[in-house]
Amino acid sequence: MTEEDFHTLVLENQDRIYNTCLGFMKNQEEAKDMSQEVFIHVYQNIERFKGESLLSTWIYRIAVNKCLEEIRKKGRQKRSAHLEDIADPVIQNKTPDFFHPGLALENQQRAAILFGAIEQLPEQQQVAFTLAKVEFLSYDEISKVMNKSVSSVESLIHRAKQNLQKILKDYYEKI
Amino acid sequence: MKKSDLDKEIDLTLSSLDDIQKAKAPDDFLTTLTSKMIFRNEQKTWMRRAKYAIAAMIMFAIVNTVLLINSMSSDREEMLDSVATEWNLKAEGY
Repeated sequence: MTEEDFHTLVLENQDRIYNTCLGFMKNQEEAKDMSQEVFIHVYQNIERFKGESLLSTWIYRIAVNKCLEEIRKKGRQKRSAHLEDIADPVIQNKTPDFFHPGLALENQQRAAILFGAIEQLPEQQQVAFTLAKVEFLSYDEISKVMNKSVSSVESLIHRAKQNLQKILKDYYEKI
Repeated sequence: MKKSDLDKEIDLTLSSLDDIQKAKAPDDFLTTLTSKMIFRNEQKTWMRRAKYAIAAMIMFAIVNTVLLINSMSSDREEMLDSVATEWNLKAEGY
């Protein structure tokens, strides 16, 4: 891949990959870092792309995997610091602090709470819901990114919504 | 919170992403990406050079050790020889 081709590929895909990473990482600096890692991976592994799916689907898949990997890593670090967390009541009752730049002001607080709730979903539900609600991918596109059938994606999103309702109910009952 | 208020708040929260605008990548995205790639490439080159240098140093140390051991064993033989000659210990047959 020539430098020029790579630059074109980045310019064509940077916004959607950045937006996807932001949906998962919930931090603009981390989303930027993560999406750059995605493009470096694409550059180093472009010969592995067989053309069986759209290039954008392949890049989305890399982005999702990289973000999940990073979230798992952060989860492990959090768990190892678990004892400190228990001792600190502020962390236990912390309010959601991520404000997506693409949201109207009046929705930001609620969306921050929703992003916090999405984090508590099982991984697959989290991926399907984020791709649908933040990146507006169709169920068909999500099924290709996640390597699942459309009906599995429908079911994942349905269960995600049910779980989110429960999580939000708990959240609002406590405050 | 009353149940009806609670349900309303949950619905509003669930639909809070409905009007979300997609976030755009920062303006310096490609520039910083390019410099990150150049930096990593240079780092890789230096790492490779460092590996070669370390390998060369290890080889040098091994060769030196072998030579040192060899010279020590030949010195020892010479010393034993000279001691044997001095004390007339060399057997010339029984």
